[in-house]
Amino acid sequence: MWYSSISIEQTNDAVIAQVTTDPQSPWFSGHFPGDPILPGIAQLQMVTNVIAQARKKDLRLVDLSRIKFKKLIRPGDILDIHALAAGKENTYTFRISSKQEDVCSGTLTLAPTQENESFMSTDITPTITRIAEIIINELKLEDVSPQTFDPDLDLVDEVGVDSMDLATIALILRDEYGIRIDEDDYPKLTTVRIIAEYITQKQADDE
Amino acid sequence: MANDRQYKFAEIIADPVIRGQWEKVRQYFFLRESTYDMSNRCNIRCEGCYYFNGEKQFAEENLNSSDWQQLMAAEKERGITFVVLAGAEPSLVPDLCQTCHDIIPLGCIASNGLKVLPKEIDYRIHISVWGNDLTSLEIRKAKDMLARQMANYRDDSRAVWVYTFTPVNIDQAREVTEILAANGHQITFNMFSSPVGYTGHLRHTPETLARTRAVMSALLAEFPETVLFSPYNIVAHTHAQGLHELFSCSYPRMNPSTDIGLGRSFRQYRTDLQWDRAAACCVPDTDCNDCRHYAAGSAVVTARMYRHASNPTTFAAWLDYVDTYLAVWVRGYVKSANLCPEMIEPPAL
Repeated sequence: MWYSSISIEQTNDAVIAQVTTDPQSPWFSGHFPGDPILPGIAQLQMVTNVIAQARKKDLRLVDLSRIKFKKLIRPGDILDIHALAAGKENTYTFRISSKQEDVCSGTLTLAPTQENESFMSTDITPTITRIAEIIINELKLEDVSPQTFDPDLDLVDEVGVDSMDLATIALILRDEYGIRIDEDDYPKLTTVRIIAEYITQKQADDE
Repeated sequence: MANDRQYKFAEIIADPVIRGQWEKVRQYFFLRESTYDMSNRCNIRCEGCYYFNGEKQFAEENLNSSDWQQLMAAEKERGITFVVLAGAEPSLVPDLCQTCHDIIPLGCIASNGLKVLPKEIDYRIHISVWGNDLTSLEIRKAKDMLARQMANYRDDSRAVWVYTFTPVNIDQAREVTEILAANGHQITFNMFSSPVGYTGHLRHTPETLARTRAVMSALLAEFPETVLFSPYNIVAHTHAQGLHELFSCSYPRMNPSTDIGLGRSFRQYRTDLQWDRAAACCVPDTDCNDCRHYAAGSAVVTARMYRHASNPTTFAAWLDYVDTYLAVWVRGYVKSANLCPEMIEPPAL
C-alpha cells in the first residue's frame, strides 16, 4: 500500500481521515524517477479506499467530476482527507489537504464491487492499472486514463509502442517490481494484461 | 567505479548530467529507419564495396519518380520516419533523392562525395573516405578524392566524412582527420566489414583491430570537435567479437521476430523497389560474423538500452553511443561532450 492510515472517523454524512504516504512505494520510484510525486490516480484510489474502509463496504470508483489537483504530494507527506456525502447514494465531495493547504478536491461516485464484473472493474488489478499509467506517461497519450485503458489493446499495432518505448517501460517495471525483463521477451509483451501476467510469473519464479 | 551493486533505473538517471543526456536522446526514439538502393550505377568502383556484392546489384533500376513517390508515401504510412539512401551512388539520381526528401524529411545519403547533391535535399550526407588520396587511388581508382569531396561540400553542414578503417589505412586516418579538421569538417569512423565470402587483405585481424582502437582513441582525444565518436563507440567497433555476437543484431536478416522494433519495420529496398526479408539489413551481403559497420552499430547498440541500464557508468557509455549516432545521422542534432571516458566492456545479455 502506498499510504498508511493514522486515523479514520466517520459521521452519518462524512468521513474524516489522516494518512501518510509511504516513501518506499513503487508509485514514487516510477513517478517520476528523481522527482517523486504521488500520481492523481493513486490519490483518488486512496480516497475511495478510505471511504470504503470507514463505511465497511467493498466500494469501487465509478465516476469522477470536478477533480482539481492543486499541490504535489511527496513521499512521507501527511494528508488530511475529508469526504462529505453529496446527496446521491455513494457520491461524495472530497478534499485532500496537507498542512492546511488544498491538495486535491472533487466529487467521487462509488459503487459496491460485484462479482464477475467486466475488465472495467474486478478484472483490473493494481498492476494492470499501474502498467497502463506508465504507458500513458511514457507515450504521452491523451484522452485515456489508467482506468479506461483497455488492457487487451495490442501495444504495437493499436497503441504505437516501439522497441525503445518498451525498453523504457521495462526499466520502470524493473524498478517497481524488482524483476528482470529479458530483451528476448519483448516481442511477447503485446498487451498490458500480458505484461501484468509476465510480472506475476517472474515474481513467482524469483520466490 | 564499482559496478557490482544493483542500480534502479531511477537511481541512474537521478544524476542530473545523465538525466539531461537521457532526456536529450530519447526525443529521437521516434526514428524508424529503412534503407533504399537508389541506382545501380556508380562513378567509381571500390574494392570491397558492399553494393557490388551479392544479388542486389542485378536488380532492375527504377527511375520513375511517380513510383518513388508512391513508395515513400507508403513507407511514411507504415511509420518510417527516417530514410537512408545508399547504393550504388545516390548523387547520380538527385531527383529521386529530392522526391524522398519531399515526403520523408529526415534521412541520410551515403555518397562518395564526388558529385555534389543540391542544397534542397536537406539530409545528412555521409561522404565515404577509405584512406589518404594515394590509397583511394589504389582502392577506389579515383584521384584526389578528399580534395574533391571537400571542394564539393565546403561549408556544408550536411556533410560528415565516414572514414572506413581497413588493415591498410589505419595510420592514414590521422592525415585525413588533420585535413578535415583544418577545413572545419567533421569525421566519424567505420570499420571495413567483409562481404560474405570475402577473404581478401581488407579483412580485419585481432592485430589490426587493436591498432585501429589505438588510433581512434588518439584522434578522438586530439580532435574532439572534429571526431564524432566516443570511447564506447571505439569499444563496440573494434572489439574482437563482432556487433552481432556482442549485441545480437536486431535487423531482419538475423532477427526472425516481426513483432516489434527493426525486425518489424526495417526494410532494405533494392533499385527495383522490392525487398527481401531474408537479406534485409543496413549492409546486405556483409558477413554477419565480421560486421562492425557503423550503420549496423547505430541501430544495434542503440536498441540494447535495457542491458546498458545496469549502472551509471555503463548507461553513460550507452548514452554517448546514442548521442554520437544521432549527431552522425540526424541533421541539426549537436553532439554533447562524452560522459564516459572509460572503455568499458559491453554488458552481457
